[in-house]
Amino acid sequence: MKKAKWSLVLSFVLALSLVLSACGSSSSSDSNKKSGGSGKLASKQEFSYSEMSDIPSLNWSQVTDTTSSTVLGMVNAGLMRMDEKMVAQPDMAAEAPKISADKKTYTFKIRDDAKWSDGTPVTADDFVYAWQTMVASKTASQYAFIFPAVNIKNAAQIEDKKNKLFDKVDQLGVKALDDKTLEVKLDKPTPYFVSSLANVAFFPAKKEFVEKQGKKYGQEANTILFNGPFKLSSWKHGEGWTYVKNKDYWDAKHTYLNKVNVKVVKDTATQVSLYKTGKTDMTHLDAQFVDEFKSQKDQYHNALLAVNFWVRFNQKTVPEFKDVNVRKAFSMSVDRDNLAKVLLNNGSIGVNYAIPKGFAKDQDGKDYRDKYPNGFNATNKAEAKKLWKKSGVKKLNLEFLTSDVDTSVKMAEYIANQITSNLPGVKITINKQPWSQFLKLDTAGDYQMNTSGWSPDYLDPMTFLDLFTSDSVYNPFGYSDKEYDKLIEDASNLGDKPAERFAKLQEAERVLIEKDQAVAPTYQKGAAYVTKPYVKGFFVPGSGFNDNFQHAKILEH
Amino acid sequence: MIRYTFERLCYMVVTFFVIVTLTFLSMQLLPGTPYRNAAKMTKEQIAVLNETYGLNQPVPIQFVKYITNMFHGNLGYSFQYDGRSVTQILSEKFPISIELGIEAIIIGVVIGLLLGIIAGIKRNTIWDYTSMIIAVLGISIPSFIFAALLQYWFAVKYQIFPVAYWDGPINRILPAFSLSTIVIATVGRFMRTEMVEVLQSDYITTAEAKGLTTMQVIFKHSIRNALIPVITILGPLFVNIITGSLVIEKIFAIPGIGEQFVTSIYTNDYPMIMGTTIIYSSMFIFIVFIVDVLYGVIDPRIRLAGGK
Repeated sequence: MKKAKWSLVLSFVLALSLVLSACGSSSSSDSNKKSGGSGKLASKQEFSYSEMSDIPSLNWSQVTDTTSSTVLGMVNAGLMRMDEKMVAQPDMAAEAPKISADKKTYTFKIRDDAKWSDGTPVTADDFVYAWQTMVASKTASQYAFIFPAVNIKNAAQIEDKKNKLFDKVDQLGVKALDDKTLEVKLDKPTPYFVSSLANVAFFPAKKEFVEKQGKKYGQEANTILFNGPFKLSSWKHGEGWTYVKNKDYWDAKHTYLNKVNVKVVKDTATQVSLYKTGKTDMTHLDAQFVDEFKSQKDQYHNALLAVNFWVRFNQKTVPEFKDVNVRKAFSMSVDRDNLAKVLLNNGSIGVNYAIPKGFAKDQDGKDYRDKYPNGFNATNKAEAKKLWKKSGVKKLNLEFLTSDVDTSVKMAEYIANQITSNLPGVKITINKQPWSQFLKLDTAGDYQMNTSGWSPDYLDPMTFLDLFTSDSVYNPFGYSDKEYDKLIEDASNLGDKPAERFAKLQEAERVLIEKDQAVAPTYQKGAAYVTKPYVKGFFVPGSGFNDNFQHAKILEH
Repeated sequence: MIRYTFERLCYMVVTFFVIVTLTFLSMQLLPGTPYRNAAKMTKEQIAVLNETYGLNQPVPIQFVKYITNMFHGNLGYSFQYDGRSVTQILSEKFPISIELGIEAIIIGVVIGLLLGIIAGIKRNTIWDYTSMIIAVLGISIPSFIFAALLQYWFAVKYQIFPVAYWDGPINRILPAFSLSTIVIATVGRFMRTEMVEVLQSDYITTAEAKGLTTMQVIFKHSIRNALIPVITILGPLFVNIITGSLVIEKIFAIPGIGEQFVTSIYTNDYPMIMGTTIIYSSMFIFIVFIVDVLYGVIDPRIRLAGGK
């Protein structure tokens, strides 16, 4: 009987695989054969790809960009590491931390076999030193803000120039109980604290080494210590760098690649040519190249990132935007699906929500988005026209601020066109500015409407939602709703009741978008890339790093 | 002659300072912020950073500090490449652009001279027209289009040369060739004009009357004389090529300085902008100086007029 069942299952699988292979184009099934369906590892485990920019810095306290973070993520390790499903797994920590009853004290055991590349063990003191360095004013870290953001005790006061605790880094809520035990104290319960620890800002650093290197720390391949899955064997500035497997890493048995070659190639067309001629095994694609590869199912991949974009309406500079009907009319006029499919064409999806999907999960692993999967105030041109009429605004001349990056400009033009063609009397001119200037105007609130996006600093909806409170420094565009502020305030004090807290946050987002339309969400960012059919286990993570090849392997081909 | 050279030298130093000062001042007008993460920082955090980098001081003080440091060989630290000194970055990237520039000049001069000489000798024939069409194309087709075409045909389609990277001698060929088009065109057209002029002068008629063969006339008398003015344009042309290598460096993934210059302006990396400007302008000024002095050596009239 048992046997019969199995054969049924088998024949079903066989039939399914036949159907599937018939679905695939003939070329892809050919290359599947070529790529060695055997699944055997190739004898040479070497992987090559190109990166858009050089590494600005390997000093964990100075990192601000994703290239540096990606490299540090591969050669260093923090207490936790994010897996492919965006779930934090213990890395330098031997196991999940012990959490006190009041959920304000976390105790981490550090792995006995955690080692630096100079042979010394990774200790609790390395974390204390690194974290204290991060919040010290003389470090001038652009990521110091993340310590108060995850509520580490006294972090906010230490970074506040007017506070008496200013720069007293020894007051930070982190302590080494012994060599291998780290205790972290929080100001209040913070459910996303543990998952934040995968961020580079929370990586350890060895004091003696950092101080010995001084200004040179993290500037060359040999002025940094490694404790991650790979080591940097060379770094030729501007040209590229090479990783080799770190045999002393605790999980080295799951690192398959022996060598990874990265070259800096700033031109996407060149990157694609390198891939086509077999010089690289993986390359990111931008919109113009997606169609060329889309049909090659064994090579083409899509990743949905935890990055969301929206249009901001500045109520301070445009009085008409104070009327919610105007904001809604604008938002409902824009067809986002077309924007994502035609303009971006890289797996991005048009959305009507502020918090990306597949990013934050509750205790039971359920996605935050499950409650309102489609967001709010979907595109509806007729309804938009009605709301516009209701607002009574007859004429509105606006300036739309955008950075001068090609896609951003096209996007602004598209959105402007959607609005002006639907709402009579609206005229929008595009104001494009170089990135650094865009950033300055954006931060100062010196615009009428603009596009803006946000990548999460930690794995919780709060990293997006607290941007919009009345007193937020990221909210210079005059949105203010007491109901919203109250919901965020409530949620931030519900750290010990995660389910209730999530409900508050979901409600806050509903108020923000459905009731107030403070911003018009546009799309959730996707990434398109190709890997050779013989590459397995490589992926583009949803946030934090550009690429992850920790468990990648090369099959016989 | 010594006095003339000294005078040129003084001009050189003055020009250099004018450039440095103007760049420093105009840099202050550059819109934007040097901090990548500005969107996520509070005003207080930005203030702390400004203090750390000395950006909160008045411009004149910043300038005096910069000049003092410059004399000590310290060009400051890059914002983009955290804490790496500008001198170090320049010393890594500059030689690569110089090498590429020299290679492009060599290719360009050889081909340009050939085209120019042929056109000059075979004036108003099909040879002349073909050569000059090639030269005009060289000026009018932007080098990046030429580079993309070369890359597509010779690296992707036929795979004779590598697509990119700066590894071995074979990697130099496509970028150097793409960069040399402007040199080919300039040198070719210049050489043609000079050849035509020289071939019409009296001493050529004399040489022919002496009974020298055409080859002897061309090689011994015409080319040598036609070359002198061409040599003088090589200096500025060289600087032109190095500053213009930006796109070529990007397309062929060459870690040179051209690309760096533009990136630093875009990211408000003040020390890098100053560093690259200083190195470009001093190179330019130096070459102009050498050319000036050489003019003096070649033609005494210039020397006398200059040393009044």
